[in-house]
Parts: sequence; structure tokens; C-alpha cells
Amino acid sequence: MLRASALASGYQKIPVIMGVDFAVAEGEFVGVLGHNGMGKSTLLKTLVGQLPATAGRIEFAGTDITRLPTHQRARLGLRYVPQGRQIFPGLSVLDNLRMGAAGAGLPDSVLDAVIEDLPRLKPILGRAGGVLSGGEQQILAVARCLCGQPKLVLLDEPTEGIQPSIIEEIIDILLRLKSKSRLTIVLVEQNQEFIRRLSDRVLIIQKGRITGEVPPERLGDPELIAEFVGMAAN
Amino acid sequence: MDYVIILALQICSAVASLVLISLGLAVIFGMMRVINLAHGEFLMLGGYAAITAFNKGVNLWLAMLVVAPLTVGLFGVVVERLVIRHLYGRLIDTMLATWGLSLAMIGFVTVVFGNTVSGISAPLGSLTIGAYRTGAYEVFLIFVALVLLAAGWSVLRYTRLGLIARGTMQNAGMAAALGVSPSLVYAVTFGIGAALSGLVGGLLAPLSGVVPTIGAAYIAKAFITVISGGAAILSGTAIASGLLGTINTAATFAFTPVIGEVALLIAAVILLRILPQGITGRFFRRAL
Repeated sequence: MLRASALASGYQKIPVIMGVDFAVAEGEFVGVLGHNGMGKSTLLKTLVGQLPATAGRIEFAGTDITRLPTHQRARLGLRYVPQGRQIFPGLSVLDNLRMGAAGAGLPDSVLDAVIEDLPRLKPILGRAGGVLSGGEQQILAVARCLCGQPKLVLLDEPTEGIQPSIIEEIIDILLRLKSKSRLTIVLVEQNQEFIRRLSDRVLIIQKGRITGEVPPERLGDPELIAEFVGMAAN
Repeated sequence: MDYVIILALQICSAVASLVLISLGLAVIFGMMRVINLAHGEFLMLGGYAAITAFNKGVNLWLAMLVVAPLTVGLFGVVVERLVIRHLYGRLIDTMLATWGLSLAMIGFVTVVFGNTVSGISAPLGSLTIGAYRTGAYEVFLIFVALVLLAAGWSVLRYTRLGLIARGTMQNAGMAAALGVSPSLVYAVTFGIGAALSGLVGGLLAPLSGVVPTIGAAYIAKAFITVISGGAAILSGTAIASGLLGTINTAATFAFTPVIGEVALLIAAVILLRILPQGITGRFFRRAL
């Protein structure tokens, strides 16, 4: 479904991603685990087109999208829930969702099913996006993404700055999506517990490269974590 | 009593004229943060488009309400594609480029039409209120200003196009990640802003006549109104026009038109000293 080959990018002259190779199959839930500054967000921004790739190639659903602008990638079904949520602060919750549908050229009727699945949004539809709590914003950001009926969702640190009870709720939401709609999801995180409970497989990103793959059930293993940190010291 | 009515009408007329000359600028600045220094020349072009069409035998209303906005709107889209879109996010560069555009337009129009005043007489005749008379056309312009504000508000509030415009204005990067093409939104917005300026230029031509340099007469007031209005495109422009137009007319009635202009400028300076982000930067923040 999604394949990155020898992908490189960064900010101005500073390379951050240095030759990333990985592939995601349809219906898979892939976690990408890495510490701060290892290039997780940069990788996602390059995949969606907010940063240009300086080398390498990105393929999505059989199409080379390396040079496509962001909105065209989104229209192909590659959708993004960014770090910090990026809710439109001056739009109501309902309008944020409508924006998700409008961007994909879908009618507002697609909102019904999404709101039905996420009842927490129902009572706050009229509120401004900017006044919501971090957790509510995160759920809204996922919902907004779903309103565009994505084929593949890129999730950037959904647990960042969010209270534990809502993290549980987000895990439930994502597990339901995974089983019910067979959505393909790439999750970038540094919260090991979160990534362990959701992912089919976990890639380790270090210093702008994918350095290994671990089975998610081994993520709680202190030896493995030592090895993971040990690799970082190389 | 008649005096009160005529004074009220004059105030409404002054407010409406500020709304009209500022609207196109407000749309372009508010939506895209592009300072269009050629705004006055967009108005001028609208005036020439209307007068030229009228002189070629087109119905006056058609010339003002259709030909002028269409001409300037298309011109605006071309300008956006060729010049502005290369300069997004570079405030100073866009100012310089649009200033250059303004000079080029003045030069070009002077070459084609000559440096003379052209005019058409205002339609609709006059309106008698007691011992006073006023142009019915000026009352019509008050009506046009109200219609444009209401239409703009409805589009932003109730249509999908308006939703996309508001979302893109708040966070263009995120809008793109949802599948919206910011470049297309900007081209359309710039076209609409230019078309509005063209429409107003056409509508004002019967009152002021047109001359290649007429833009200079509008641009300062348009800028003062938009900056005083602040972030909310429509309500900001409407509130600032209401305030500044009233002050201008009241001072004109009490003293002279020159004092009226001075009062407007002083009011704007004080306003921006107290509210540097404009009126809607502090109040009515969620307004459109």
C-alpha cells in the first residue's frame, strides 16, 4: 500500500531522514518507535508532502507520489493526523469535521457515521475547536481525518500531552477502526505501551534511519529496550 | 426632522462608501495576508471597464454590475497566477510587486485612455426629502453595500466554499493535508477580491468620474478601514466603516469636509494606538 525507498529529507540543509526503507501492506497497523529528534515527525511530514523529499521515492497504492503536492496525496486517500492536532481553532467541531469531508470532495452525510462511532463528539459539535481539551482535540483530529474516508492514516504522536484516561479511549477507538474497517494505519510514537497495544509490527527509527523491527509483544522487555538504547549509542 | 433624515442618510452614505471601497482589499488581505497596493487601481480599472462598455452601447447597469467585476476579476486571477502566487508569505515582496503593478496599470491606462477625466451621469435621478434633495443613486449604493455584506456573510457562514475559505485562512497546511488545494483557494479568493473591487469601481464611476490616477483617492481610506477593522473580514470592515464614516460625516456637517477628513484620520490613529490589532482583534473575535 505504502512504500518508501531510500527516502531522505530534512530542513533546509540539515538532513533529518537519511535513507528510510519500509513498506506497509493493506490493512496493517505499523508502529514506528523512536525517541525525540530521531526523525519520526519529519518522516511523516515527508510522506504527506509537507516537506519535500531530497532523495528516494514514495509509492502509494501503486502510484509514485514523491513529487505530488500534499492535497493531491490526501485526495488519493493518504491522510494525516498531525502532531499537536492542528484543529482549526475558529471553526466549530462540526465545521472541523465538515472540512475533513470537504477536502476529500465528500458530502456532509459521511459525518453521520463518524459521529455515531465517536459519541464523545456529539454534545460538543457546536463548540469552537480552539476551546477543547487536548484529548477532545485529538479525538476530533482522528474524526476529521476519518470524514475524508482515508485508505491509509498517518498518526503523529497522538498521546502527546494527553491525560491517561483519554489515551485509553483513543486506544479503544483505534482498535475498533482496525478490526471494523480494516484501515491501514502508520503510528509514530514514543509511548511504548500505546504502540505495543495497537501495532501488528513495530519499526525502530534512530537518527533518521529504520534500524530494526521488533514484535510488539516484546516491547515491555527491558533487555530489548536496553538493546534498543544500545543501538542508539552506536 | 428633514435635517435629521438627510444627516442620517449622509452618514449611511459615507459608511457605505467606506465599506464598498474597502471590501475587495479586506477579502484579499484578510484571507491571504497579501497587502495589495494596487487595490486603488483595481477600482480604477473597474471604472474604466464600466465606462468603456457603456460608451460601446452596453446597458449602464450591465456595464457596472457585470462587465466591471468580470473584467477586473479575470485580471485579478491572471495577476495572482503570474505574480502573487510566487510571493506568498513574503509580505514586503508582495507590497513591492503590487506597488509596481499599480504604477504599471496607471501608465497603461493613461496610454490607452489619456490623462483626462471620463464620466457618465448617475442614473436614478434625485430624491426629495422636505426641503432637501439627494441623489437616489447614493441611496442605491447604501443598499448595494448592505447586500454585499450580507451575501459575503452568507457565503462564508453557510456554503462549503466559505467553509473551505475559513479553514484555509486559519491553517493552510492542515487544509492541504485534508485534500484542499491552498493554491486554488488563493487564486479564487484573489479573483473574488479583485471582482469586488471592479464592481465597486464601476458603481462609483458615475459619482466620481474616472481618471488613471483615481486609485490614489481610494487607497488610503481603504487601508485605514481594513487595518482598523482587524482580523474579521466582514464584521471588521463593517464596524470600522460605521465608526469612521460617522465621525467623518459628523465633523463635515459641524465644520467643513476638510475637517471631516482630518477627524477620520485622527480617529483611526487613536483607534490603532488603543487597539493595534484592529477592532476585531480585541472584540468579536469569532466573527466572520
